[in-house]
Amino acid sequence: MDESTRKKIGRFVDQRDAQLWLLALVVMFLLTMALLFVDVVNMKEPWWVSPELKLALNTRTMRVALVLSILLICAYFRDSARRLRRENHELIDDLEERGRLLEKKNCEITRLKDLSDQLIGVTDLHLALDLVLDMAVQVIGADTASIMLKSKGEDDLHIAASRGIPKKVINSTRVKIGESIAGLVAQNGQAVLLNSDELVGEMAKRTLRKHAIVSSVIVPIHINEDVRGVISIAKRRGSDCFTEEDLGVLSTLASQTSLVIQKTELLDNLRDQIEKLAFTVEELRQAQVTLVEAEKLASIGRLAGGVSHEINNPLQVILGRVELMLQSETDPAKLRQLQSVMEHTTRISEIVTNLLSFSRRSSGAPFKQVEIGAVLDRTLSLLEPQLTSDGVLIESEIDDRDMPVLANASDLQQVFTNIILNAHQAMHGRPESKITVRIRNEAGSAAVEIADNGPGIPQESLAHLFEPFFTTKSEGEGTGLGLSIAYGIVEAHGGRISARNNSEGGACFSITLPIDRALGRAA
Amino acid sequence: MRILVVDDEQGIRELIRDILEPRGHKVTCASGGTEALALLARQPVDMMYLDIRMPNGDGLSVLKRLQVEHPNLPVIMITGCAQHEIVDETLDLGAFACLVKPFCVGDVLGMLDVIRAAA
Repeated sequence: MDESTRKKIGRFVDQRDAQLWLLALVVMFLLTMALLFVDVVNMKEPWWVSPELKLALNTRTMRVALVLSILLICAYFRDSARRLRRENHELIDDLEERGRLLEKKNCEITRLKDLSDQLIGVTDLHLALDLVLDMAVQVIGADTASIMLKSKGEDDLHIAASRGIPKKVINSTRVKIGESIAGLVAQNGQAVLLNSDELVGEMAKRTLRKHAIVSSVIVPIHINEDVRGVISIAKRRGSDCFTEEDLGVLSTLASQTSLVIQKTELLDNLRDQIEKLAFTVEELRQAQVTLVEAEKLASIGRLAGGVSHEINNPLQVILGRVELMLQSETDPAKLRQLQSVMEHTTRISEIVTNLLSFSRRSSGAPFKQVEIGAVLDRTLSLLEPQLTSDGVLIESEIDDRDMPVLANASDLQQVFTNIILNAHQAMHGRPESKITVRIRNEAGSAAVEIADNGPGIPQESLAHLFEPFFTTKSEGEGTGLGLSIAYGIVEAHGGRISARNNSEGGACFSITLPIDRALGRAA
Repeated sequence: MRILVVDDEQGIRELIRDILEPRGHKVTCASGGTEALALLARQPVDMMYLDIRMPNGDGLSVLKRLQVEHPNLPVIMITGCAQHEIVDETLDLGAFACLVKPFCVGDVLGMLDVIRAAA
């Protein structure tokens, strides 16, 4: 039996009781009148009352009065008993109802506790929002539910999670803060309970009617002083309306959601920081490697310089003496031998000169403002005939040809020449050989890339590429000084040179030189 | 011509001497700057080959003193370092020319011819 039926029955019983007691009062009044009448008859003894009548009146009236009194007393007790029984029933019903409510509350609390326990372990925001909505649907009994969050950097809400809402609606819904009911809740930070039969606002009525909703609860998700979003639940026509208790439960869920959002944001932040830290550590590691490599090359340079200088003097003596002997010698056999000595000594001399270039890092000629594109153009124009005759295609991708750098043009030309000739040699005999030259402005530096589609550089060679005498070429094909000289020159210009293998194959050398801002145009 | 060759390397000194003497020049050698200045004080020369890097009185210091004491003496500097700034510095200090190692016989004689022509 539901509450309203019980109330109707109670009202009916109360009406009947009132009618019965009114009847009893009337009867009591008439009886009193009858007794008064008997008293009057006894006292006055009117002429029309015979002694027999008087006796009869006294006896019967008393009997009637006695019987009626007993009946009234019985009726009173019976009514009291019935009333007590009814009140007892009502009390039991009330207790049962309270018990049911208590059980429901207990169940809600247990589920909310379970949700809290589950949310503690969840680090993914969308998973956490789904859990919250599951709870809203199961505990409160909503037909549809959604969590709308403020879009980053924008003044509107989007649906971050939902239940019972079509995908098309989810994707297209954008609610401006301050507009529509959800937008107003997000603006004011106040929860609302909307039941269609109690609504006064035209907007609310229209909204509920539009979505065939009978009842809706929308609560804000607060984070500190800010409203970050709203949780909205609704029941469709044919269901019961939400109650204040439901609003309370949803507010608890909103608090849980707020905690989850804060937790996931903290975790995201932490993750970002860890990534940045890892990136910085990697950068530091790279810088350390570069520094160690630079220091190693500088040490090699000092050693090479010292050794070359010491070799230079005896070499000079040998060269001079052989030249003098060649001038005076007439015997052809001796001349041939002397020429051979001269030839090999000249080769030693060239190696020593290159070693000295590497150790000195530049020719020492004064630096002037030069346009990097022009230097590269000159280099290419000198090498192009040799490259094209060997079927090597040259491609240029130049963003800014006129970037000014403070440099010694002929030293830079030597750097480009060494790299391009290395690429040429690496691609020797390969079909569709191609050298691609790129120049671009990279964070205030002039960046030159020279890439080829050759076999690339063996991974184990990459770390030693700029060391003097390191070569991957066959014996007699190179001294292994070209790249170390290029390294020394670029370092002397305050730049950086590095080599890598392209993902699509081939090697790529990168040279970055600082753009000359003081003398040249702004970068 | 009377020529003074100053170099700490005996091999270089003798090489230059052996290039120049067969061509009729009178060559005197010194192994350092101090010795060269002492020799110059005793007997004048017409020109001088002077090494830059020497342990006993480096070439640049000697060149500076020569510009004061013998301003008209043509000096050809000898260096193992082909860097422009060193070459430029010697020329700025008054050297006639700079001979960069490794040089050939022709370089030594060619510079001498230029000095003779200028004299």
